[in-house]
Amino acid sequence: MTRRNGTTLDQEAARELAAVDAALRGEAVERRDADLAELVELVRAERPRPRPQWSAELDEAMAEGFGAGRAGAGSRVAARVRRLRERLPGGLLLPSLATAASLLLVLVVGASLLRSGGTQQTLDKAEPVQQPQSREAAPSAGAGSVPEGDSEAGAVAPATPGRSTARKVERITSLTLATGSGEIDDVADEVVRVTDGHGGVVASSSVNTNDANGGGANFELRIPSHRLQPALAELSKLAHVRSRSQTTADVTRTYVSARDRLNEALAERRGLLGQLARADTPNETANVRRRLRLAAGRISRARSELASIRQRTDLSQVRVSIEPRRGDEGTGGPWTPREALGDALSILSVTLGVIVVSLAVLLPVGLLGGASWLGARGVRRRRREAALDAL
Amino acid sequence: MALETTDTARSRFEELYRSSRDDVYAYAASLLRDRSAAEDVTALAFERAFRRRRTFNPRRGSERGWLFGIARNAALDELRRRERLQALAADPEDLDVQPPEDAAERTVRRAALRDALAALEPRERELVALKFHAGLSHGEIAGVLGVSESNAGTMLHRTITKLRKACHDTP
Repeated sequence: MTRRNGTTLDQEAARELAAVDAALRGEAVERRDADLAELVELVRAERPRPRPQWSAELDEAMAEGFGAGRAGAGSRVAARVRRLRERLPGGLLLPSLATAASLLLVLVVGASLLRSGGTQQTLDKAEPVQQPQSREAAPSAGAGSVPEGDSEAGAVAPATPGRSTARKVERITSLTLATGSGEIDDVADEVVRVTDGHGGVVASSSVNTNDANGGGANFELRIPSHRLQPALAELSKLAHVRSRSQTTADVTRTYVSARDRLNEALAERRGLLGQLARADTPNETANVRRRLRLAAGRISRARSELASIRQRTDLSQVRVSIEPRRGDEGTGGPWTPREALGDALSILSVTLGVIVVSLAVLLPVGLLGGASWLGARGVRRRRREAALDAL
Repeated sequence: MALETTDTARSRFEELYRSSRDDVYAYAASLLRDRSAAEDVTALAFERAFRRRRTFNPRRGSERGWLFGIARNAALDELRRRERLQALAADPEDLDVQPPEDAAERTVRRAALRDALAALEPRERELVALKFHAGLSHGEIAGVLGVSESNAGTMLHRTITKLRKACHDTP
């Protein structure tokens, strides 16, 4: 039975109900309500009364706190209660099932989200794997040289709808390390070692240890993109990280555009070569050769552009600066209050992060659990009411 | 009650038990129409209420209303379990209730009332039990049934009118 908006009792009904209440309290009623008083008396006479023996047993059970550990009469009632409770439907089964279903749903959603994240990671990692195929299209021949029996068209496939192109992302990372003045050389050596270890190259470097300000070093590194994160992790361990920033630029569109231009130029060149074979007059031959040179120029420019993009995306740019440590950045000195404050803030931020992540998990679970509990409660209530209606 | 000490909560519950034991039984017996089942359901209701006595919130209604809500759930669960019911009419205790000095007219009315009670809808019979046997106020009945107070009053008045008519229109 659901709560409904009340209907207003009329005055006569309210008066009669008040008379019934008075009769139930044993008070006198007006003469016109005498039949109501008699009705109350008759109905009260029909009141079911419990057996004295059962009443005594229930009293004992109450005195024992409805415990079943004793052998008295109360324990018999408690045992009956236990048996009845076991027989009764509902209980915690429905809410438990609903909660289990909710948890399962959360797990499934979580797993699918993780899986989609993993796919993204796989895509990122797959990028370098596809690069060797792409490199085949990057000829070592100089610009303008168009080999006969051209096979580039097969190597550089046209961008057709439905065919996916791995994202081309250019990454530039700046890392500033702080170390003691006497350690700049050592850290610089380590930077080179880490770069080599990850298959990268040092594009440029400058190390100055004789500066009055304590010296410093700057590196321009190229590190294979698929090794960027582990390389950065290692570089960050070399000294105190004063700052670290990374910018990324998606150049896929530029790459696809250059690739399309290359394919178009290659196709044009094939057509012109056919025309050259069929040319009858010197003028016609000269005209086709002139157009061939123009096409070769376009091919060369497109290839250069593609090679440049590939280089920028296959090799991430890392700028490392090594600076002398300031007084407040000591790692080997005493633990200062400022450092303690910094550590405390770090701990607080980590704690806050854990709380946020926990809430992100617990909140949906809680909401789903609550909704399930409410739903199960509603279902049980409806079933109970239905049992009454079915009488 | 929720914030009271264990002893206080228990003594208050015992007081509630003493004042309500027979009323809860009468309500359960009227609803179930089976004295044995009413005994079990009454015991179960008090056992549940005893376990949950610290969760009672006075802001949500009276103690008796809370107790009868628990008893109602237990009785309806029992009804769900049992699809067939035994009629109280066969109970010998009912026959003992009739006082020997009843006048003939009163006996006739009494029989008419029994017929009328038996003919009531289950929900109407429940209302009669909550009002006449348990002595709950309209507000308490509304709380137990989950309806508004005026709605409870309207339904109760309609039921009383039925009974009144059955008793006093008897030739």
